[in-house]
Amino acid sequence: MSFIASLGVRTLMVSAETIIHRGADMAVCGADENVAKVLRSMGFNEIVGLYPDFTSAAAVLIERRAEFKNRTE
Amino acid sequence: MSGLGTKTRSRDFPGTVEAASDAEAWIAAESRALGLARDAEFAINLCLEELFLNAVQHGCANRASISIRTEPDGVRVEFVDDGAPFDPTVAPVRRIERPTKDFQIGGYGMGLLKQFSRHMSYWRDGGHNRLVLEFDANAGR
Repeated sequence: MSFIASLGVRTLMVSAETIIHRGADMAVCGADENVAKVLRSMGFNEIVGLYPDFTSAAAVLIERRAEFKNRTE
Repeated sequence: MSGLGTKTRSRDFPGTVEAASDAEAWIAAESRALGLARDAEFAINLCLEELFLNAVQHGCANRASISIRTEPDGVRVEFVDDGAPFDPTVAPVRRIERPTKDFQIGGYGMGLLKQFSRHMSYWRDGGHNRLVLEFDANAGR
Protein backbone atom coordinates (compact mmCIF):
# COMPACT_ATOMS: atom_id res chain seq x y z
CA MET A 1 0.00 0.00 0.00
CA SER A 2 1.65 3.25 -1.10
CA PHE A 3 -1.11 5.83 -0.50
CA ILE A 4 -4.00 6.33 1.89
CA ALA A 5 -6.09 9.32 2.97
CA SER A 6 -8.69 9.67 5.73
CA LEU A 7 -11.38 8.09 3.52
CA GLY A 8 -9.34 4.91 3.23
CA VAL A 9 -8.57 4.88 6.96
CA ARG A 10 -12.28 5.20 7.72
CA THR A 11 -12.95 2.19 5.51
CA LEU A 12 -10.25 0.22 7.34
CA MET A 13 -11.70 1.37 10.67
CA VAL A 14 -15.20 0.17 9.82
CA SER A 15 -13.73 -3.24 8.92
CA ALA A 16 -11.65 -3.30 12.12
CA GLU A 17 -14.67 -2.39 14.20
CA THR A 18 -16.65 -5.32 12.77
CA ILE A 19 -13.75 -7.79 13.15
CA ILE A 20 -12.90 -6.77 16.73
CA HIS A 21 -16.51 -6.84 17.90
CA ARG A 22 -16.78 -10.41 16.55
CA GLY A 23 -13.88 -11.40 18.82
CA ALA A 24 -11.33 -11.70 16.03
CA ASP A 25 -8.09 -9.77 15.55
CA MET A 26 -6.63 -7.60 12.80
CA ALA A 27 -3.18 -6.30 11.89
CA VAL A 28 -1.73 -4.10 9.18
CA CYS A 29 1.62 -5.11 7.71
CA GLY A 30 3.99 -3.76 5.10
CA ALA A 31 2.62 -0.22 5.09
CA ASP A 32 4.69 2.40 3.32
CA GLU A 33 6.37 4.85 5.76
CA ASN A 34 4.01 7.70 4.79
CA VAL A 35 0.96 5.43 4.99
CA ALA A 36 2.04 4.36 8.49
CA LYS A 37 2.41 8.05 9.41
CA VAL A 38 -1.19 8.70 8.29
CA LEU A 39 -2.47 5.71 10.30
CA ARG A 40 -0.56 6.86 13.42
CA SER A 41 -1.67 10.49 12.96
CA MET A 42 -5.31 9.42 12.98
CA GLY A 43 -4.82 7.07 15.96
CA PHE A 44 -5.61 3.91 13.95
CA ASN A 45 -2.54 2.18 15.43
CA GLU A 46 -4.14 2.39 18.88
CA ILE A 47 -6.88 0.05 17.65
CA VAL A 48 -5.01 -2.11 15.13
CA GLY A 49 -1.31 -3.00 15.33
CA LEU A 50 1.08 -1.94 12.57
CA TYR A 51 3.87 -4.35 11.65
CA PRO A 52 6.73 -4.12 9.15
CA ASP A 53 5.94 -7.42 7.43
CA PHE A 54 3.55 -10.36 7.29
CA THR A 55 5.78 -12.65 9.36
CA SER A 56 5.95 -10.30 12.35
CA ALA A 57 2.21 -9.54 12.15
CA ALA A 58 1.33 -13.24 11.95
CA ALA A 59 3.60 -14.05 14.90
CA VAL A 60 1.85 -11.50 17.13
CA LEU A 61 -1.64 -12.60 16.05
CA ILE A 62 -0.79 -16.30 16.64
CA GLU A 63 0.63 -15.47 20.08
CA ARG A 64 -2.47 -13.47 21.01
CA ARG A 65 -4.71 -16.27 19.79
CA ALA A 66 -2.82 -18.77 21.96
CA GLU A 67 -3.10 -16.49 25.01
CA PHE A 68 -6.83 -16.10 24.38
CA LYS A 69 -7.32 -19.90 24.12
CA ASN A 70 -5.36 -20.46 27.34
CA ARG A 71 -7.52 -17.97 29.22
CA THR A 72 -10.78 -19.43 27.99
CA GLU A 73 -9.99 -23.18 28.32
CA MET B 1 14.98 22.65 -4.08
CA SER B 2 18.48 23.79 -4.99
CA GLY B 3 18.94 23.62 -8.77
CA LEU B 4 15.24 24.18 -9.49
CA GLY B 5 13.87 27.60 -10.28
CA THR B 6 10.56 29.06 -9.21
CA LYS B 7 7.79 27.46 -11.23
CA THR B 8 4.00 27.52 -10.95
CA ARG B 9 1.45 25.03 -12.24
CA SER B 10 -2.31 25.63 -11.93
CA ARG B 11 -5.52 23.92 -12.94
CA ASP B 12 -9.26 24.31 -12.37
CA PHE B 13 -11.50 21.34 -11.54
CA PRO B 14 -15.28 20.87 -11.34
CA GLY B 15 -16.70 20.35 -7.86
CA THR B 16 -17.39 16.64 -8.17
CA VAL B 17 -16.14 13.60 -6.29
CA GLU B 18 -14.96 12.13 -9.61
CA ALA B 19 -12.77 15.17 -10.21
CA ALA B 20 -10.81 14.32 -7.05
CA SER B 21 -9.24 11.41 -9.00
CA ASP B 22 -8.37 13.76 -11.86
CA ALA B 23 -6.79 16.15 -9.36
CA GLU B 24 -4.76 13.30 -7.85
CA ALA B 25 -3.43 12.27 -11.27
CA TRP B 26 -2.64 15.88 -12.15
CA ILE B 27 -0.77 16.44 -8.87
CA ALA B 28 1.28 13.28 -9.40
CA ALA B 29 2.24 14.33 -12.94
CA GLU B 30 3.06 17.92 -11.95
CA SER B 31 5.05 16.80 -8.89
CA ARG B 32 7.24 14.67 -11.14
CA ALA B 33 7.55 17.48 -13.69
CA LEU B 34 8.60 19.89 -10.92
CA GLY B 35 11.12 17.38 -9.57
CA LEU B 36 9.58 17.07 -6.11
CA ALA B 37 10.68 14.38 -3.68
CA ARG B 38 8.36 11.40 -3.23
CA ASP B 39 7.52 12.42 0.36
CA ALA B 40 6.57 15.92 -0.77
CA GLU B 41 4.34 14.48 -3.49
CA PHE B 42 2.67 12.20 -0.95
CA ALA B 43 2.04 15.08 1.47
CA ILE B 44 0.65 17.37 -1.24
CA ASN B 45 -1.56 14.64 -2.68
CA LEU B 46 -2.87 13.69 0.76
CA CYS B 47 -3.69 17.26 1.82
CA LEU B 48 -5.36 18.13 -1.46
CA GLU B 49 -7.49 14.99 -1.44
CA GLU B 50 -8.69 15.91 2.05
CA LEU B 51 -9.42 19.49 0.99
CA PHE B 52 -11.03 18.59 -2.33
CA LEU B 53 -13.44 15.99 -0.93
CA ASN B 54 -14.25 18.18 2.05
CA ALA B 55 -15.06 21.16 -0.20
CA VAL B 56 -17.26 19.06 -2.51
CA GLN B 57 -19.01 16.83 0.02
CA HIS B 58 -19.44 19.26 2.91
CA GLY B 59 -18.98 22.72 1.38
CA CYS B 60 -21.03 21.99 -1.77
CA ALA B 61 -18.33 23.63 -3.92
CA ASN B 62 -19.00 23.89 -7.65
CA ARG B 63 -15.42 24.71 -8.65
CA ALA B 64 -11.98 24.26 -7.18
CA SER B 65 -8.55 25.31 -8.36
CA ILE B 66 -5.10 24.09 -7.38
CA SER B 67 -1.84 25.93 -7.81
CA ILE B 68 1.56 24.37 -7.06
CA ARG B 69 4.56 26.69 -6.86
CA THR B 70 8.13 25.68 -6.17
CA GLU B 71 10.17 28.16 -4.15
CA PRO B 72 13.76 28.15 -2.90
CA ASP B 73 12.76 26.89 0.55
CA GLY B 74 9.90 24.54 -0.33
CA VAL B 75 6.60 24.16 -2.16
CA ARG B 76 3.62 26.49 -1.85
CA VAL B 77 0.23 25.01 -2.74
CA GLU B 78 -2.92 27.13 -3.00
CA PHE B 79 -6.36 25.53 -2.92
CA VAL B 80 -9.35 27.73 -3.79
CA ASP B 81 -13.00 26.65 -3.77
CA ASP B 82 -16.37 28.40 -3.99
CA GLY B 83 -18.03 26.34 -1.28
CA ALA B 84 -19.35 27.30 2.14
CA PRO B 85 -16.91 29.24 4.33
CA PHE B 86 -14.55 26.81 6.05
CA ASP B 87 -11.24 27.51 7.76
CA PRO B 88 -9.21 24.28 8.15
CA THR B 89 -6.59 26.07 10.27
CA VAL B 90 -9.04 26.29 13.18
CA ALA B 91 -11.09 23.14 12.50
CA PRO B 92 -11.13 20.66 15.42
CA VAL B 93 -8.80 17.67 15.05
CA ARG B 94 -10.32 14.28 15.80
CA ARG B 95 -8.39 11.04 16.41
CA ILE B 96 -9.65 7.46 16.52
CA GLU B 97 -9.95 6.31 20.12
CA ARG B 98 -11.28 3.37 22.05
CA PRO B 99 -13.97 2.22 22.50
CA THR B 100 -14.47 1.51 18.81
CA LYS B 101 -18.25 1.33 19.19
CA ASP B 102 -18.18 5.12 19.52
CA PHE B 103 -16.29 5.48 16.25
CA GLN B 104 -17.75 8.29 14.15
CA ILE B 105 -17.35 8.85 10.44
CA GLY B 106 -15.79 12.18 9.45
CA GLY B 107 -13.64 14.90 10.95
CA TYR B 108 -10.29 13.10 10.81
CA GLY B 109 -8.77 14.61 7.69
CA MET B 110 -8.07 18.10 9.03
CA GLY B 111 -5.51 16.71 11.48
CA LEU B 112 -3.61 15.27 8.52
CA LEU B 113 -3.30 18.74 6.96
CA LYS B 114 -1.59 20.00 10.09
CA GLN B 115 0.58 16.88 10.38
CA PHE B 116 1.80 16.79 6.77
CA SER B 117 2.18 20.49 5.92
CA ARG B 118 4.76 22.91 7.31
CA HIS B 119 2.37 25.85 7.55
CA MET B 120 -1.22 26.73 6.61
CA SER B 121 -2.88 30.10 6.09
CA TYR B 122 -6.54 30.73 5.24
CA TRP B 123 -8.64 33.65 4.20
CA ARG B 124 -12.10 34.19 2.74
CA ASP B 125 -12.00 36.17 -0.47
CA GLY B 126 -15.04 37.22 -2.52
CA GLY B 127 -17.09 34.11 -1.87
CA HIS B 128 -14.10 31.78 -2.09
CA ASN B 129 -12.11 29.82 0.48
CA ARG B 130 -8.39 30.31 -0.08
CA LEU B 131 -5.93 28.06 1.70
CA VAL B 132 -2.17 28.17 1.24
CA LEU B 133 -0.18 25.16 2.38
CA GLU B 134 3.60 25.08 2.58
CA PHE B 135 5.66 21.91 2.33
CA ASP B 136 9.32 20.95 2.60
CA ALA B 137 10.25 20.05 -0.98
CA ASN B 138 13.25 17.95 0.03
CA ALA B 139 11.47 15.89 2.67
CA GLY B 140 12.66 12.31 2.60
CA ARG B 141 15.55 12.93 0.19
